[in-house]
Amino acid sequence: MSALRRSAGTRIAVSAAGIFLLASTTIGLAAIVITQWRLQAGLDRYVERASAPLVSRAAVGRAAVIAAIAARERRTGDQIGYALFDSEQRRVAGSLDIAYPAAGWSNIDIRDPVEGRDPARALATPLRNGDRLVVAGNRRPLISAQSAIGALYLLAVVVTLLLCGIMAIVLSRYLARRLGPISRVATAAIDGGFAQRIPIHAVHDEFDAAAMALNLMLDRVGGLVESVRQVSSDIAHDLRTPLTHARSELEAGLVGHVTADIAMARSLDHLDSALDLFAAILRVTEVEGGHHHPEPFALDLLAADVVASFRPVFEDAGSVVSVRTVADAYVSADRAQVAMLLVNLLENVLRHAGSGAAAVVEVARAGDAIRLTVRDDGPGVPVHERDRIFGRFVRLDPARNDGGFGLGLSMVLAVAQANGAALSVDDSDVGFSVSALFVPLGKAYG
Amino acid sequence: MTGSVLLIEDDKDISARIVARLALGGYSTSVIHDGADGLAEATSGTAFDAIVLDRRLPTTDGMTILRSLRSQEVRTPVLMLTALDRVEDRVEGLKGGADDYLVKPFAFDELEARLGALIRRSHSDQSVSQICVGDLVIDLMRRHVTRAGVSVLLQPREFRLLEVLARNAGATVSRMMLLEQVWNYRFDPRTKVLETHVSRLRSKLNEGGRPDLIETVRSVGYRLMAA
Repeated sequence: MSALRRSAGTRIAVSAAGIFLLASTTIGLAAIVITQWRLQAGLDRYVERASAPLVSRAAVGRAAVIAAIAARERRTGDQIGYALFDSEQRRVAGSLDIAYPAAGWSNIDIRDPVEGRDPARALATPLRNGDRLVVAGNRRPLISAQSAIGALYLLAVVVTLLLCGIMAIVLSRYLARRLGPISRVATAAIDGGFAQRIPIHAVHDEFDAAAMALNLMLDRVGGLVESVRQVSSDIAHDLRTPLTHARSELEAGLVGHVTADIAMARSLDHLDSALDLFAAILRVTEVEGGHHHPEPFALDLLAADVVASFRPVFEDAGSVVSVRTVADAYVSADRAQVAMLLVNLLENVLRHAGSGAAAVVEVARAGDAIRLTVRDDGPGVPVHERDRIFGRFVRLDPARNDGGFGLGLSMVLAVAQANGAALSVDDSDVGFSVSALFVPLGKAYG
Repeated sequence: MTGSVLLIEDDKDISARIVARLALGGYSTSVIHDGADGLAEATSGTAFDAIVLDRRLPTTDGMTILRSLRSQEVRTPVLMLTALDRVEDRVEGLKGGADDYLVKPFAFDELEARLGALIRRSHSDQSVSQICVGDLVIDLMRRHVTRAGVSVLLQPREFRLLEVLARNAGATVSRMMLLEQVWNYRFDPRTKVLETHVSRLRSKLNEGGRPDLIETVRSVGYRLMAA
């Protein structure tokens, strides 16, 4: 019961009941006032019409009036009564048993022989001979009509309250049914479970719209939580390696297996490697954080410059790198970040394409956009792995410890996203190719 | 190279170790742990060769000190230390008048190398058109290098690399400094771009069996020495 009292459904139903009651009371009172006014006016007119011919009979004489009264009383039944008083205020005709009234309209009680006292509307008209004619109309039907309206009003109130009570229960149950799953899923999420989703009904109402938005939010949060979990465990794992090595080097130095100088120098290398890992993670985080400084620059010149720096590195690895560009490939992007993207893609080739590979860096126009592509003729990436390679700490061959952190391509993805460049992986079976589609300068500023 | 350094850093442990390290390099260091006191000391008229300034300090923060120094026409080179490696912090620091920027945690070798370069730069004439190191002559105007009178043909990056090393001849230039000044990279590529270029530069300079001028300083960087 207290749950029903707390329910929003009950509050809505009670508010609705209040509004309905206010409305029906207003209508009821208005009906009573208006009908009373109209019925009384009608009764008055009826009495006036009954009175007028008798008044005109007075010109003939009292006897004519008395005869007319008698004739009417025989005809009209009990809804209208007559009395004629002489100047001595004595009733001389008519069956209306009342005291001598003042001239004009008055409300009186008449004694009905069958029903007892009845309220009536009386019109007393002084006649020319000093007599006074009283005609009274029974107000009983008028009052019965008003009682009927009052009863109807009370019935309306009772029905309204009843309907609102039912509405409270139905609405509470409906709200509980629609909101219950949302609360349950949210509670599960608070407890760390992101697997549940709010069921969507076919009607697509406001609840479904909210549920769909919440489900999307759960997808996103769940993905982020999973990614944080994954990254934390990867960082822990990747950090343990250099730290363990540093520790064992120091231990070897301490027990005299190697000289202190060698132990410290080797430990420093391992610790530097751990710090490098942090630096790499922070760089990706910074780019993902969206702090970037776009400026207009020629992507063709940047590509040529980076390739020139890497050409000796490729040559030393027994590979080649070439660059093909179109002139004036101006883009608006963070120059330092794009340089980092290109360096990461070239390092990726060096690391994975194997010795003797040929890499091509290409800057080309693709419609309005400028496309930067780095392609190699190495073993490539299996199709089913292509979605995964841009994740953090992803190394397709975990056995191969080549000093890489598995962050290169996630940095590429982060830079592309921060600079509004669409990234695509070529799905040809030969080699590996990554393209970034940059918005050209004119578009970015237009 | 020796000099006097003002260190404004609130972490007493780090500042003690910086002082010890700089003393080994021949620097005399004054340490102030508080921002307002540091600003007062920097503007007291004592001549320092360089100021090492922590960004986050009690009472007055590093950026405020830096701006205040520059607005008072104090031109002493400033090396900023920061716990944050964010581009906007770096840009703000350099715009505010910092000459270099170092992110904590840093290697003390890196600090010494950068500080030394900073002091040399402020003392040397940047408009020289020729640098001589031993039998090596670098013509900065014509971008031409000779060793013992024999012309050495260098690629643009190799020339720039040699120029940076030569401007700091006798002192160690760190890997990061070279990547920044030669390639404009704010990150250390995992591949051996720098090593490859140094190796090419070396072989070109040493052609004909001449003694090696470029010394590798393990896990720090390189040093150009008159043979």
